[in-house]
Amino acid sequence: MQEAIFSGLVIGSIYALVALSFSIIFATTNIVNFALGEMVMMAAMVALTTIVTLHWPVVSGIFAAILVVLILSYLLQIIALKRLQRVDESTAFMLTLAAGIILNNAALLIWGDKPFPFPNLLGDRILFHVGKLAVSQQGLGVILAALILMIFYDWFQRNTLIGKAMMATALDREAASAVGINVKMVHTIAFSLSGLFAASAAFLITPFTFASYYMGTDIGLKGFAAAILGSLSRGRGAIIGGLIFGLAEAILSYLFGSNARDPLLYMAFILVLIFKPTGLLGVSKWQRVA
Amino acid sequence: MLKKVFWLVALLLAVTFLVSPSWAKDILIGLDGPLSGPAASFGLDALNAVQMAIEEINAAGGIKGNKLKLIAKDSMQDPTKARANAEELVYKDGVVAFFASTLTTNNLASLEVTTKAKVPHIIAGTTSDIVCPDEPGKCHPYVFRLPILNSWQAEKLAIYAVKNLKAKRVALMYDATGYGLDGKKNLEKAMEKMGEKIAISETFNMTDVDFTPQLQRIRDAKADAIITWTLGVQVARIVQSMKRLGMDIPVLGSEAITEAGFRKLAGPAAEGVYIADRMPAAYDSKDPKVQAFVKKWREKTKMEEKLAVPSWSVTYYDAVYWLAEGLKKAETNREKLKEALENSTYTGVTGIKYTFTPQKHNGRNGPEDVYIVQIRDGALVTPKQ
Repeated sequence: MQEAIFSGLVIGSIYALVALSFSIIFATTNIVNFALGEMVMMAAMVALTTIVTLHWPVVSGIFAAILVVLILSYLLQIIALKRLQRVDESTAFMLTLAAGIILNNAALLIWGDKPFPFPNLLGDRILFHVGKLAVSQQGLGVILAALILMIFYDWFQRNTLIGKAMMATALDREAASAVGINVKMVHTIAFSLSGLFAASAAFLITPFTFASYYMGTDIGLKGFAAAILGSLSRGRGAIIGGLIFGLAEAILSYLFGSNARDPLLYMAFILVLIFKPTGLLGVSKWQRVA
Repeated sequence: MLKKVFWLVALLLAVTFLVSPSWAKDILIGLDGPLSGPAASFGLDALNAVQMAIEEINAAGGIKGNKLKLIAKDSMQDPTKARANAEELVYKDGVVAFFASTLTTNNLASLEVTTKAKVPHIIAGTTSDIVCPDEPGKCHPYVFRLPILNSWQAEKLAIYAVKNLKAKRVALMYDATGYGLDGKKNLEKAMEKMGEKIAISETFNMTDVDFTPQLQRIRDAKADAIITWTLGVQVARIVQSMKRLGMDIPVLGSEAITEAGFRKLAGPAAEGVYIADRMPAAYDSKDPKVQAFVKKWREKTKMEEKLAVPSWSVTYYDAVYWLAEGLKKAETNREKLKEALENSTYTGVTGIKYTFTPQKHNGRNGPEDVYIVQIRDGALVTPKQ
């Protein structure tokens, strides 16, 4: 059981990062960025090319991958939000969905259809044993890295002017604009932060999944589900949602086998949404003070 | 004047008819497979092997002076495309024999067309039992299969785990697709045949990334060997999860993971894995014939030094030579060709013997024809036990 819990926490903290990426954008712009899974994939593929194929130093490769994702996020934001001023939000959803499909197919053309091994940047030694549980460098590293990023986000939102401006925009865009908050800049920062977390999730998950053009679909879907479970509009909710989703996956398949896992998991998911439609930590729009 | 020109042209036309029959005719052979898309590597491995054999045969004079000519078609992973390809090859091009897709479903789709038209349907890739069952009378008279069967692999793996590796509690991990479920059924039957029981069976979805929960259940069940029945990506994830958990028990797998992609993805975690293969580890062979074949393959496909020739490529290569023997006897009469093929024996490049009789359309004989190979230093070698 302890091993299932540990591995659930490892995968769950990666889901949490992706869920957080969804919620950062949704909270400030009311857009669900369906291209996010493909952003994760692009980060992984760029890191793979720079680090493995071109033999760049690991840090340079990571920066290159983050840069590419930031540029893509910025382009998406310009297109999606420029439109959003004039059209409704469902058109913006479609735009992000289309962007995701384009990225997916572009990756297929560039990198082909085969999966590639991805370097385990955190090392793969076993550090110590707790009872039967072997704590690996990789597992512990993933949890710590995700934790640091999430604490940074929480601190950033609560203690910096920009963070507070983001919260204010999330609460009421017009009012925020009226008190002099540059809403456009808030949107840019939201998309950038989201891209940064998506790229970080890519470096952590890809040693498990291998790098392939199709890896984004699954991680995107699970991150989105986790965000809905926790709360799509609150960062802390999304993080909790990610951790619960990962833990539930691991514990359910340990107890009942993976045939039973998905039906049970999604039944629980539906039950939660029946009783709390805004997610476990969700609140209605007028109470939403993160 | 016009009349004279007309007669002259008509005369010339008649002359061409008189001269033509003495010219050599090409013998057309059809091939269908996944030449693009996610399964393309299997199809291209097959195509390369068939082309290599045909080039060699033609360079050595062809079939009684006639050259072999290959028409290859791509059906990706689409059974309807495979069916349409077979129809085109059989009815439009008029091929004398048909190499079916490496994918089971596509193979079955084209089989309906070829068997109806009575064109020899040659299987060199798929190991699924259903395309040509190992029971007298169950395999269609125009279907011929050269590789081993899934049920034979399962039997050999079970025997190897229990007898050679002395495993007392064998665990099973299979994916939730048709391939995995078929493997589970075969392995259960194989263990039962030896009077043994599977200690624990675990299944998973193809998209699962972490196998810790399943592996922990296997550890709780005190298993001392794991037989896997799934594809390379999944076994790579399993052995890497085992490494993270510090689990050190033997892992065995079906022929699907002889592909180089598995070793590349799993890296050092793949070391020591046992695989049921259709032929002995080619790299151990000192036979100059094998060495020459491997060298030629490497030049043709620019394959890395450490990798082995995919075993299905060897089968496709053997299949062309075996077919050529039949064509020498039957020429292009499909009925005679079928008779020649079902009364034939052929020894392939790696020393594998294929025997066909009218009752037995599987060229190999049974589990005894399955070889266990092991991954050592990233290569497939003969294990020590």
